[in-house]
Amino acid sequence: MTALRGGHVGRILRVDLEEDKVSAEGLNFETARKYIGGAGYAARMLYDRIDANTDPFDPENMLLFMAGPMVGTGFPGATKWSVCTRSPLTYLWGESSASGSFGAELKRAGFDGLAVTGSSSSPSAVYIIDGRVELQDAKRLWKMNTSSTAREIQAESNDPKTRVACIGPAGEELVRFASIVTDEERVCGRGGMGAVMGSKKLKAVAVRGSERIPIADEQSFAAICEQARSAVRSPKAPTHTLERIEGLTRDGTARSVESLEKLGGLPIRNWRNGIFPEAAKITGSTMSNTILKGRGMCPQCGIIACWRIVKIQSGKYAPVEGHGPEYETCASFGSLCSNPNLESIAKANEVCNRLGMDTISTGAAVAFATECYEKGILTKEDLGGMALIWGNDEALVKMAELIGRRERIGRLLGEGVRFAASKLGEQAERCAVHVKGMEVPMHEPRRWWTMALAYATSNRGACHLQGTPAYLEWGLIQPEFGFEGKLEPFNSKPMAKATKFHQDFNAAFTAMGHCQFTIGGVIPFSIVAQAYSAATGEKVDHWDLLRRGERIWNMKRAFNMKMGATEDQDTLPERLLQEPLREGAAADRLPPLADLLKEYYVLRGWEEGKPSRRKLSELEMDDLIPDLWAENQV
Amino acid sequence: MSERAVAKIRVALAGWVREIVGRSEVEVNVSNPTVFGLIETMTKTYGDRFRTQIIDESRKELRVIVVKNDREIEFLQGLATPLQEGDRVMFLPPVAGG
Repeated sequence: MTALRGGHVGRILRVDLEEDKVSAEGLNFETARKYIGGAGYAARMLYDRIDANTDPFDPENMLLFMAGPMVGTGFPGATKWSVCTRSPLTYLWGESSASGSFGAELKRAGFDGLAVTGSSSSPSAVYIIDGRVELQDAKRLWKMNTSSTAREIQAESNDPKTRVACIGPAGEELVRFASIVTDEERVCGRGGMGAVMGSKKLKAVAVRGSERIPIADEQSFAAICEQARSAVRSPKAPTHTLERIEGLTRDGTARSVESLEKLGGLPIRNWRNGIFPEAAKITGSTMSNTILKGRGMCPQCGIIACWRIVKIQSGKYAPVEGHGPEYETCASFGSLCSNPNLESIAKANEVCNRLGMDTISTGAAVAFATECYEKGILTKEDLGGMALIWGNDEALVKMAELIGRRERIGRLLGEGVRFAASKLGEQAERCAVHVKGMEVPMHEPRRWWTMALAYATSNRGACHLQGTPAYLEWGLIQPEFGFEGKLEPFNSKPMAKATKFHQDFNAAFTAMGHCQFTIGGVIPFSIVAQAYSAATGEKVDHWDLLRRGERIWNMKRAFNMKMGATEDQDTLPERLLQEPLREGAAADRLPPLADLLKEYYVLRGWEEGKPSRRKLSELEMDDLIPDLWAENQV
Repeated sequence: MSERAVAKIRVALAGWVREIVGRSEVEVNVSNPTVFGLIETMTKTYGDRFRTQIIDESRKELRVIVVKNDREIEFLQGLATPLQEGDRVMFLPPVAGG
């Protein structure tokens, strides 16, 4: 087997917290070639090493921190690293990515990934400094919030460039949607990766390295990086590319709030209303004009300064200082809770990041609880005397704190809306908006039908990042892959094809380590493929990478089947499938999910909801056939 | 001289386009009732900045989402999309994801 000559460092670090053992294993280059690296490589590892009997909180569950081949190479926007495990929220494939410097630093410290198994008897932290690995006691850090934890570790190491990924109290308390937060306040938010970390009593991972990440053809790689930068800065770049860069830099991801409300694409009042007249109060341009104090970007991006730095110095939510809310957070704590108070959203965002919780699932849990209160399923007494009515901004911030600390009603809501609803009864279950246990993110599937299919089929439950085919409805086209024009909303014709494409596409570029913002309609993927070729020494084109993305998608699907998933879980909650909105631009529309799914399975080459033998052979995954089709074996 | 048709159009705006106009909803009388005519009319009121934020002149491409009665004009007749009394047109910053 020929080693890939660059991009990858070539080693995975294994840490067994049960046995206090540390070891390194060589990267399997054949697996890296087939599954790219990052979350793709992790999918194969997890499939091989855990089974349906492994509870997400069992010590045997493996928690992987992975950085793909492009991370840290200097290619613009290649900043995404991933954490993968069996999710305690869905009991299926769990994956969450964050940007920032942690992934690059992990590689510079000598490893493409860190695989953690076992569970420590007392709080611990893993330090990886230039190839040296130490397990340290972390009792002093337990109960600390994420910001203090990171600062403490950096101060102790006497090196502010030590990068830290840690959990807060929510992860320690096993909130099923607890996140992992870095010192740069970049967050692996979705799916409860932080809860699995907490179950292992692993408080933090600190990394620092000075190794140079190998590049197979340095000269060509440098030229391709420059070509990528020039392509997006050129006045000849497509209008949608220039606008995306300028708009995201100026008003951040939250710039979409107001437009989406007018287009009928913003979730409102726990998915029950179609209009939110106060959307302008929580949109990105309003943030720019009020609490925004600065903008920033990931090191190695150089293209889009999407970070918001906010500061609130007076009023009931002061002090707030740090990273501001993204679009998803402005929607989840804003319109979803009928809350037009931007400062309260910034505060809730800070609470979630400090306690270490996903802002989407937390906001969704608060909206769920609010509807339960409205319907009398939860009482004021259940809520500790709080009147959790729509738009009560103080109550929703308080609720976030209770959930993060698992206090009072937070003990129940920290289970996620699916499990919470199952304990509250049938009426509550109708208020719980999730797919496979994952709370639905903030893109209305009754407006964007591609997202209806994407949510229903996503491997990690309702997700807007494991394929965002709505990009094609928004005009972020991909001419290199045959999507030359904007998809017309409410037209189901090309939607299954678009969804499959975008899922495979995202699986590929996420495994490589690219940010969705720089890839989706900005840097042409043919240039990305050239960069991958120059970095690894393996010549590929963009179609080759898309095919690998398809393989990764099928690998994650196979993992889910191994965990007990079934085809009938590919659906949407009743509210999104059968209850049309009564007002707004998406009024009276329902996604034709059954038809879309039928077409999707054919395009995927799936039978009974799983990859067919033929598809597995086509993707060179024959070794999975006995697992998936055991009953058909002769 | 024949009298030209004038249509009263309801216009909704969001984000930085709203900031140029200063309001989120306005009514505009358009004597050349097409989307392009509406932009020209509004440019007279709100200045050249309005037009340059809506249309990339050098490429003849839209910089924002323009919707007529819940349908994007890209799927109608583009800037030549005809308007009539009572139509609702929205000028919205592009959606970016998050």
